[in-house]
Amino acid sequence: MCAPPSASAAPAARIAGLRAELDALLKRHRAAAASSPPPSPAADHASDPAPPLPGAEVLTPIGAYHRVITRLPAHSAHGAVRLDALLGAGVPRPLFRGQPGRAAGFDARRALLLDTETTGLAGGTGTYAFLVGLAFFVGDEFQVHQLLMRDHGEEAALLSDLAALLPQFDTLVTYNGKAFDVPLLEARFCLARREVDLRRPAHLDLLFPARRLWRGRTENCRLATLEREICGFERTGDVPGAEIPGIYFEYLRNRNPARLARVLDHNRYDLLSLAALLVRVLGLVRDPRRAAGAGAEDLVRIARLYAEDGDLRAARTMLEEAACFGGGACRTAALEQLGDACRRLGDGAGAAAAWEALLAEPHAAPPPEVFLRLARHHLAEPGGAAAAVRCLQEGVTRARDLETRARLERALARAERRAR
Amino acid sequence: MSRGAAPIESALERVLGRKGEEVITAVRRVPARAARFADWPAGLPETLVAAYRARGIERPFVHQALAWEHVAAGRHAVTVTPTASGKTLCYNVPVLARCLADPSTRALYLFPTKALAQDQVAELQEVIDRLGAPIKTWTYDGDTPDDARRAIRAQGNIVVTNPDMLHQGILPHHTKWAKLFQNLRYVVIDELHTYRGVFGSHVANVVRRLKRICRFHGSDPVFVCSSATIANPAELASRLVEEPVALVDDNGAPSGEKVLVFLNPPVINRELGIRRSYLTTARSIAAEFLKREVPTIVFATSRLNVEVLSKYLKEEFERRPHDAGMIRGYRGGYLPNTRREIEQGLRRGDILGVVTTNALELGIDIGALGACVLAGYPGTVASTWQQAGRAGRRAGVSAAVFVAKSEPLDQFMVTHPEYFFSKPPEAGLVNPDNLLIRVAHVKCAAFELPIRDGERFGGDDLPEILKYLQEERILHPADGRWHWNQEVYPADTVSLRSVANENFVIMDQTRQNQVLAEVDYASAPATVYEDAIYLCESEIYHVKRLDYAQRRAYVARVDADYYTDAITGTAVKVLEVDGAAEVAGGASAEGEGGADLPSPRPSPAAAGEGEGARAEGKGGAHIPPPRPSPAAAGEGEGAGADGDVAGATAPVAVAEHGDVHVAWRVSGFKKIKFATRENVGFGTVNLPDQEMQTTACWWILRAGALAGLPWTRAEVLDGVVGIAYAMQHIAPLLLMCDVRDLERCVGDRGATWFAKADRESRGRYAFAAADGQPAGLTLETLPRFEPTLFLYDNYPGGIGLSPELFARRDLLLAATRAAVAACGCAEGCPSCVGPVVEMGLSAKAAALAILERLVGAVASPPRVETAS
Ligand SMILES: [Zn+2]
Repeated sequence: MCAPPSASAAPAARIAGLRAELDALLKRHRAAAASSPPPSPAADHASDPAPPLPGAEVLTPIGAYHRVITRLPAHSAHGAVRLDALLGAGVPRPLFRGQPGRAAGFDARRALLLDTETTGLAGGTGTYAFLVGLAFFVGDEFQVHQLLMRDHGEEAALLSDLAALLPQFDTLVTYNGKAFDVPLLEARFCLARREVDLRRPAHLDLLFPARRLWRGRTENCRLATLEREICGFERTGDVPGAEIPGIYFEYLRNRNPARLARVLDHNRYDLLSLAALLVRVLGLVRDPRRAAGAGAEDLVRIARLYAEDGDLRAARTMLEEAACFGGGACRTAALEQLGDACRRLGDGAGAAAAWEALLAEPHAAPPPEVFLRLARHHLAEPGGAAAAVRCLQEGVTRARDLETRARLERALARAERRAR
Repeated sequence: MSRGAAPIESALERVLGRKGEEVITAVRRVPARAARFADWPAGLPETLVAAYRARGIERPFVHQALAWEHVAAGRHAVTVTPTASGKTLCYNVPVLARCLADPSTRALYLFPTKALAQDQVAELQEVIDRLGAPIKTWTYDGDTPDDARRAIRAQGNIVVTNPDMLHQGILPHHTKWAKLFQNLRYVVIDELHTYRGVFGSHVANVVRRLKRICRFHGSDPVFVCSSATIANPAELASRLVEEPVALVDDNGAPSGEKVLVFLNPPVINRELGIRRSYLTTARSIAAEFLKREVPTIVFATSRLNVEVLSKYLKEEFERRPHDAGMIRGYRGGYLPNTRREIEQGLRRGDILGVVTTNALELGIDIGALGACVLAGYPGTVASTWQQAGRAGRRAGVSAAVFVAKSEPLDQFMVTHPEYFFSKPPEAGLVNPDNLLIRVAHVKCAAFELPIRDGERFGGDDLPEILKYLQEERILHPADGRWHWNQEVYPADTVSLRSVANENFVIMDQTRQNQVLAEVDYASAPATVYEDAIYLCESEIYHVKRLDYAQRRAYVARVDADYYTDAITGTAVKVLEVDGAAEVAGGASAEGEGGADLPSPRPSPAAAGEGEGARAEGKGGAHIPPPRPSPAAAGEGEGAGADGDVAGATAPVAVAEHGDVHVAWRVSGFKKIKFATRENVGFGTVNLPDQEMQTTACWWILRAGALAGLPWTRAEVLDGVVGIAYAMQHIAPLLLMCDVRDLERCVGDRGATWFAKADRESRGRYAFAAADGQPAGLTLETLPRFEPTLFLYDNYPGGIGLSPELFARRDLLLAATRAAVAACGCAEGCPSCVGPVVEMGLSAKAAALAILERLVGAVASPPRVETAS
């Protein structure tokens, strides 16, 4: 009784009607979306005589794709950073958080730097990595290989070469690759019915240490910002990342490589900056005292990386130094963390000393735990009850909200009973 | 706790004995039914049987064993059983058995709502705990935390979710769910009957996508569905699954005796057809049961009414401090914890009475109650049985009382109880090939997996759609496949609850412009114009501003004692005819197999004309001659004062269905008092004209229907407009849909004139010549007067209602006639042809006269006035 509407009656007329209806709906959309930014001036470039796409076609048994190889001497500099500083460098353990045992085997010659350009940021199976940028050391060269699918039909060949390349490396280096590039490539491999284990190599995602080191100190933690501020490299004529999917869609339609070539430049810069940033991060984290331009604040931040990794002794040493040389907010942060590190190391006296010093800081706003822990430390000492009471009284007067105040008052009451 | 039958019987006695007040129109005793058991099927794991035995299930009911047989043989199946008949066992047994045999097995359970999903997981988990097997069950919905999501993808044997989540969260990321899709053996679709109309049409497309992804990952799951009783469960299931589905409807579950009472509040104003408030009546009926400590559930038709009724009942039954909590309200907006607590209270018997919306109609376990009061017709026969089933034990008597509102459908049901008791419930209809819905899902499908040339996704015109999407730069063809070619994520912009993704968003100014709700693009002009009263949940809002370009309406909460009703002028143009048939008129057709309304005259000849029987007669004793050619149709024909062509042989009407273009304009609105339905004012609306293409069913009234009627053409037109009003309100009787899912229009088949209402006419419908007609064309000077009555799907592209209306057109006409005839008002009222002030004094009489000719002149059916 609910037979499908008869499609046989007049298919052509029917489809024409359907098209009209769809058109009407989509036009309404465009009118509603008229306030969104206009499309980039693609047409301007269309009239330029198009230089051919750099690089060359690669033929594989399952089809072709396009590859651009850039060779640099390993000793070249990117901004203020020499890339060969990586060779022979070790990776401090804290950078491989959650992957214990990976650090010992790090060899820059078996590290693959990876950065993809995609048709969108939304993720999901309909997002393509149309350009896979790879960078690695070969002999005395640092090479950048950019694998490009010039159309969707080339994806399979591109992925098959990528899959063949991956086993040659032990470590992946990315910027936000854990959340973005790797899951995206996993989806692409799955859709291409290829079993590739992207979780096999160690994965050094620099976004995590970069945030630890520079959040709040640079405008933001985007790679392009850090390359400027941390690596001293200034890009010119870069394509904004947000325009990249549109440029690729446009290339699919008109095959004009001019703007796509700029995406290749963008991706190559990203990879070089990734290498340079890796040099900086490794240098800083491995030995902050000797790293160029490092200050007390770097020490505090790096100490936190070590503390999170469980290396509390290294953290304590750095924090002691930072507390010594740093001033203001840097010193209070160092003292607070130092107290905590000492406590976790079982060094009660060290912790107490750090907290006492913290409370003596004029602008310190220590959390209630500092008062509670310090008081507990005093109570554990013979005759320390009076000191505990003083400490908690101080806490009560400094409390910034009622809940904290009540909590400290309860502790104070207990300490007072002990003092009597 | 079990309370005896005596209090229920004595409460019933009181209800039936309320002489001189309400009119009891029916008392039916549905006898108790004994359980029919089967043996546990051979081949079921012993541990599973033991686990069920430990839960007190010694042996399965016959329908449970039958479902197993189909599913075990790899056949898709749909089980149709009433409330509390153990339907979950029908799908849990095969799924668990397979999981025990092969721990890599995966199953996907779909429930229409989150609450139901959580309820089912709890029950399933109990069985699994008894099994002691490492079978993992998870709910996956918007609230699932991220780390749990990873675990579910990797190891969940049974993933319980809803269609929206499958559509937006799972399918677009199917590679992350590879384990699930590679090993997917069963897809369970519970509450299948809720997947109808727009929602069902979307879900059918989500199932298409699901099957496509399964094929990619190499699985071919069996669909196991369960549904409430509807007219076409197997058909609806196979429309959703697009494969044959075996029907299991031999219910073996026992039930106690049930007494059903139909009750109509007394008329207090005969002229205007106003009855006493059904809420007041429902409340006093519920009180009879509650007084005797009979656990009672009251169903109200809106959240506002839930609040009103529960407030009254609380005042009456929670006078003493320790009574607090005896009466509870329950509805969708409550927090999950509150709802769980109420459900538990009902199961344990701590709560005596609950007032609820249809939120408690679906399978949530609340134990067995003694009595049920339906304050207002729930809209469908299926829902009525579901709700009535909430009172009922496997042993002992229970009672369900239906209290009618004054709406046409309520009044039809309460005055024609035979209809209710003799008819199968409505059909669940979907239109998975609605173009807009389908195109939205073609996009989602291409995002999930490039579409191959030659692939199928619904109807034949997929290549056209793909080409269209290429032109729109949404898809890109390469290598024989169509690839997603945009940055955005298409599922995010496709809501399963509306046809086009251009909903108007309603923002609450009283709550920092929080989003309150969304309204479909097509219905926005008639619901959220400036100064409209917008009802949402239990609150009344006033529309302060409508930003049409941005698709936003700003509303503020107010106290108002009126609602607003848009005045809409509509014009319908026929684009294509998909089927036509002569209306047999006097020879009342019974084409649709048992259109056994109380009244239709037994047909003297086999006049039943099936669908597709064209107007150009096929012979048969009483089929009128072919209609006159336009040239011959000029003078003398037609209705009103000028017509005298005799009725006996003149054609009565032609019914057609097909594609139409609808243009409408909202020019004003009426303010109508909630309590009395009195019109208390008007307002003006300035909105652009609207148009859409959709499907419709229409009746062209010919000479035989109108000739010789003692009214002017204008009065006859009022009558036809009244029939359209009644038909639109009665149509949900046949289709499982809401009154608002359909719209109506009266005009000319050739689109030269329409009966339109506007601000100036204060909502009264009047003749209006269409644009481009010669000046001075009036109703009286029309060369030919053949009013045509259109009912159309109120969604762009149609959602499957119109073809079904056409198929059941005779039944619709008969029911409409019966409803108008049975109404006790004098000259028309909101319960039949519409309020008399708007319809004119002769509308009801004219409507009835025309309906008699369409259906067959028979005596009015006797109205049921007293208890049987
Ligand atoms: Zn009436």
